[in-house]
Amino acid sequence: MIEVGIILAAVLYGGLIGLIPSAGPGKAIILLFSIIALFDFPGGDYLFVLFSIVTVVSCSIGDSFASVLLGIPGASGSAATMVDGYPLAKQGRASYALSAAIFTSTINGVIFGALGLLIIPYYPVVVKVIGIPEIFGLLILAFCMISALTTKHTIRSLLSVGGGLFIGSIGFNLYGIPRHTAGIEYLNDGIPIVIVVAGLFAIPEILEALTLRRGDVIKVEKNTHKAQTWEGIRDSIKHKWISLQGGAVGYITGLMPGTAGGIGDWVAYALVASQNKKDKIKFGEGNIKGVIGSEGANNSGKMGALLPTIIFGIPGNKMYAILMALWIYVGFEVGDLSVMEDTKFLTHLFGGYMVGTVIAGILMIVLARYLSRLMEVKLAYWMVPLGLLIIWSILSSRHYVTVQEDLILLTVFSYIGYLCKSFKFSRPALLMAYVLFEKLEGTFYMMKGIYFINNDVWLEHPLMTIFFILSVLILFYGRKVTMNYN
Amino acid sequence: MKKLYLLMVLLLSTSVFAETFTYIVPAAIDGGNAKWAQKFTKEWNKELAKEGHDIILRYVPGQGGLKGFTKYHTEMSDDNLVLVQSKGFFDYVTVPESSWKGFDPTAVDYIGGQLQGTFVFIKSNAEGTLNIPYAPNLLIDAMGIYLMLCGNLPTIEETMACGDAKTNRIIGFKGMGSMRMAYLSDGLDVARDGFSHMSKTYKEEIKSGETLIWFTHGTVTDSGDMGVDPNTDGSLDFHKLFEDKHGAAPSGEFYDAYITLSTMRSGLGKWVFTKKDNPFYDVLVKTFNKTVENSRKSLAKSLGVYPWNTGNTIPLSIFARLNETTTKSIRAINGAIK
Repeated sequence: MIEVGIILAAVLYGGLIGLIPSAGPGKAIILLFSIIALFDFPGGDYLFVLFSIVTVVSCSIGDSFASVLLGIPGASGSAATMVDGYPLAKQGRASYALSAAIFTSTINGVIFGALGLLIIPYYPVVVKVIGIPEIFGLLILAFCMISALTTKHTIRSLLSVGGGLFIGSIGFNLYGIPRHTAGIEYLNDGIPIVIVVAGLFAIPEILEALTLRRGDVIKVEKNTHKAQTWEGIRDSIKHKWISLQGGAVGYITGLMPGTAGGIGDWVAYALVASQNKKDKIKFGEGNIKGVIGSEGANNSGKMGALLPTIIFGIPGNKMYAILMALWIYVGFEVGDLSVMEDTKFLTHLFGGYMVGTVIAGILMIVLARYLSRLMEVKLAYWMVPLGLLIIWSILSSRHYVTVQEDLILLTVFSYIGYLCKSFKFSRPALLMAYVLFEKLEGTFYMMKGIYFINNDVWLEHPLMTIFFILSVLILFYGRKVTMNYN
Repeated sequence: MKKLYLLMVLLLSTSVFAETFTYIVPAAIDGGNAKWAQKFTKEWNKELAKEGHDIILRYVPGQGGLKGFTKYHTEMSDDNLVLVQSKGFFDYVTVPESSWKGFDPTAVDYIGGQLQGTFVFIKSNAEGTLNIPYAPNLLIDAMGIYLMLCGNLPTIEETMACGDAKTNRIIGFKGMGSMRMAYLSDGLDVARDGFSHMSKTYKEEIKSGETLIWFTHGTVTDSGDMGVDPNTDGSLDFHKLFEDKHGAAPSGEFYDAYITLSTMRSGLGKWVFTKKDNPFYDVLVKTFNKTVENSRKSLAKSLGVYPWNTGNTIPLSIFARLNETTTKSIRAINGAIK
């Protein structure tokens, strides 16, 4: 029964953060670092896994509100929803857009959550096929994808990867000898991820949100709310193939390590727009198919991105990079066999994903009219406490052992985050490289010691060879088919 | 007024007896040592609460634990309310004495700890040069493998040369997860792991005959020697298998270094100590014993089935092994193996 309480608490928490414009799941997860330090989860760490995954899904559903009612994306995953959702809201059809968005996102969360669960029993087969060489190829592919497919500034993105790798290399090396620490003892164990993430993403976003000039909040009309809500649900069912198509696009792009979060939504949106060019209502002017197509990819993409995160320890996107760190922090070695053999972990993870999605979806639809009022709260009123909470989270998660050093480093990384944002250096690429450095270095040495001594490695491991060829192709041609998602 | 005085006396007496101990984990919050501390102190706190006390954890990561120990020694070693977790003390041998800032792990009182045991697995079809994993925390395993492959050779240099010729040391394993994956995908011929993983990670391969348990390092005894791992019947014990293969018991400088490090990993890997003559020592040992007794099931589930022990006997008998010769040998091997 305690699981039900945890799910409800996480739905409320994640939903609330999701409702805050520009907040998104990343910041909700950063705050979880303090929640784990404050609360002793009565059922142990598994309940925390449950809490964290429900937080993510409910946050993803909640972020549609800001996109539709304010024209500000709640997070990168709901930016495409805004294109048609906001015009619909301006036409007095906010409830219609919201219910279609939430219903589609919820249903696809359940469908693709189940699909993810079906893959898990085949994990032992996957491990036999995907060995060290394939992981090495996959890591290179991930770096190329995030550099060339998530932005048009490929060179800058590659430089971000380089920067991230350097930051990840700080601390003890494989022989236990300090590296790139400049003799500072604090750095011996590396730079804490919670500081890197908060510095790169949370603080610059919060500062930006404080200066953001927000338009009027579009109100959810009391008289028409119920009818519009049902209409939105009906249209979602009516356009079920668009929804499923969006789900499939989101899921597949989510599976590609490093690229999830935004891309799937935009690709799904672009696809549905190109397929329905002759519609009376133009895309961008309030076509519900645009909302359904992009929201279809929202939660399914998160499920797709979850799989490489837990199976290979290669996070699907920046949100999962933080979540992965959080799970490792509480004791689950994500990407390790022990986690994949832990049925309790998997049950809590997938069960939480699907049940949380359903509960969050239902609650958001039922309470949409009341929740929409939260949009009227000035951004500054959200952002100042959110910023302070994040700083507090960092210090409490570090058990207040190194307060001064933590704050200095947070300032440094906030500045780096601000510079990256201003000069369009990819922050997700930097974070991904930082997170994956250890894995890349280890895999490289294993390749050097075991496989590269053999010239036939390219033939014996064709999947690795394919990953390398794909990496080169993406690096050279990716820019032509992409846009700036970050 | 009388009631007020009584209340004040009561409050004062409560505050005198109810103490909060600070438990120093000389490691990062997300590592195996921290996890062990979190699990054990969660149970320990239940028993301490009955005595009116509790424990809070404090993590001091850095320099592989050295920072935590030296911080304790220079800032907190007079404090009766500070407890520290040991983590093998390999660095006590390999890192220069000056780095320890005077900290002496034999000049403290050990409250209690859990013995550790390790298994070494090998692919049944392994032949020729063996791909073996290497990382600083896998030094003992590499030494055990060298001994098993080469037998008793007169010098450390000869054993190293023999072992180097028969193995290909693979680095890149910062955590155990990547080592397991490399082993299961046939990148490595050898792996090492704890008992709990034998019945999970290697279960299918052992069942199909693809993997064999090569040997077990054993667990430390009260006298500071290595004995048979209590989770096995003794047939896979390092000493027995060595003698079966080479016709003589293991001996020599390389072996002495190996066995000393093995006892340190098994007996000092997860222990708690405090300052000498701490007035709380007795209550801490008593509650430690009660924790092991009353939470046996939950501790076995979260921390494995290895034996628990209290007092100074085991730690001090292990340190007694660290004479000038073994220290010199360990340093020589550690330097050569890098």
